[in-house]
Amino acid sequence: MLASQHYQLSELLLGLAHAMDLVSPALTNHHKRVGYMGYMLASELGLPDRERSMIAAAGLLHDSGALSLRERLDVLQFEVGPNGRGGNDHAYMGYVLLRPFGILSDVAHMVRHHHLWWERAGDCCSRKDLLTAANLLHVADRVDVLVDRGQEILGQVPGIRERIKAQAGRMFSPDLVEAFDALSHRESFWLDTTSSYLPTLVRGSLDGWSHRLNGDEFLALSKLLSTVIDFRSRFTATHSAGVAASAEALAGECGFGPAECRMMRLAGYLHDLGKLAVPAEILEKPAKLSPEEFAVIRSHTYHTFRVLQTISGLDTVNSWASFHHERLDGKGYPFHHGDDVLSLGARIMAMADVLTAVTEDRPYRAGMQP
Amino acid sequence: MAGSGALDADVVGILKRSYDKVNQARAAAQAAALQEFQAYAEHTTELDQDEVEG
Repeated sequence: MLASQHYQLSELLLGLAHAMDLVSPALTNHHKRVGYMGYMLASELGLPDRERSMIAAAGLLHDSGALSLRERLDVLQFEVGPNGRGGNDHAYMGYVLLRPFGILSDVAHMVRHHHLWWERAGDCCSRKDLLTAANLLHVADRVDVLVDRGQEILGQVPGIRERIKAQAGRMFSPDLVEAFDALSHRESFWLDTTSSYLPTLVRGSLDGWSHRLNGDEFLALSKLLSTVIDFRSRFTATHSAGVAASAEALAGECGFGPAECRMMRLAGYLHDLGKLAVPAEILEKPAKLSPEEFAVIRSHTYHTFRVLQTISGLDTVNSWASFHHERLDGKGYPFHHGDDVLSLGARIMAMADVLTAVTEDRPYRAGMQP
Repeated sequence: MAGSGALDADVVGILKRSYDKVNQARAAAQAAALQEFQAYAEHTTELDQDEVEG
C-alpha cells in the first residue's frame, strides 16, 4: 500500500509550514509569506524555475530550527547581528535537522545561511553557490518582519523600501535590494501576501520543484519531521520514535500485514505533528498547567488531523495518527469519536501513545519503569 | 493503562501477551532517537568548528 503510493513533497512542506505557523498569532502565515516573497524575488532576478521553487521551499522551512516560541519571536526583530549571531543558532539547527534528507540538501544550506549578512558572506565556506539564494531568503524574511500586520499594508511600503535599501551591501546583496525595489512597486506583490489566496499562491510557487515521494522517501521524510516536532523539548525528544516503533510492533501482533505495519510506523511519526502549534515553553513547564495551557496542549490532535487532511493519499494514516486521544467511550478529544468510528489502527495508536508516554519523563514527573 | 475501559480491551490483551516484544521495539527506537537528539543538542560545537574553518 505505502510502497506503491506516491506523495507530493510540496503538500508535506506546506503542511509542516502551516503547523509551525500555528504556534503564535504573531507568526501566522510567516513561513508561507517568506516562501512566497522569496519565490517572487527569485522570479524578479530571473532565476530558473527549479531554483525559485527551492527557495520557496526553504522559506516554508526557514525557522524549523527555532525550538521555542521565545526564539521565534526574537527573530522578528529586524537586525540580528552582522554574522547572523542571534539568528544563526536557529538557522544552523534548522540546517542540522533538514540535511539528513538528501532531497532537502540544498534547501538545508539555504536555511543555514538565511540570517548571514551579505558583507560577511565571503567568509563563509559552505556552499557559496547557494549564498545568493540564502541572502534572498534573508531579504524576504526581513521584509516580512517589517510589516505591521495590524495596519493597512500599502501605506507601509515606502518605509519598508527605505529600510531594505539602507542595508544594500551590508545585510543584503545590492542586486537583491535592486530586485526588491522593483518588486515593491507592484501593489499585487503586497496584496498577495495578505490575501486568503496565499496558500494557493505558495502551492503554485512550488510547481517548479514538483518532486513526488515514493513510500520509502515519504517514510524517511516523516521520520525527519518527527525530529522537528520532538526535538523542541528533551521531554518529547524520543516520543514519536517510540510511538512509531511500538505501534508498528503492536500492529503486527494484531494481524496487520507488512505494508500496513509500515503505514502504522508512518502514522506514529506524524501523530504529534500538531504539537508544533504548542509553544515549547508549555511542553517544558515544570509545574501544573493552567486551564488555558492545557487547552492548547489538547488542540494538538486537531491540528494533526487538519494538516494531514491537506496531504493526498493519507486518509487512512490520518485516521490512525490523529485519533490517538479519542476513547471508545467518546470521552477523548477533540472529536469525541466513539467505538463506532475508531478503527483498529486508531485503537492501536492510542495504546502505543499511552505505552510510550508512561515510560517518559515529564517536567512534573519521572517516567515509569517498563 | 490496562485499567482504562476507554482503550480497546482486545488491543490491551494483545499488548499484555506480546509486551516484551513491543516494549523492546519501543525501547530500541527511543534509545536510537536519544542518541540523535544528543548529537543534535551538541550542534554549537559543530557550528564553532565550522566557522573556524571558514
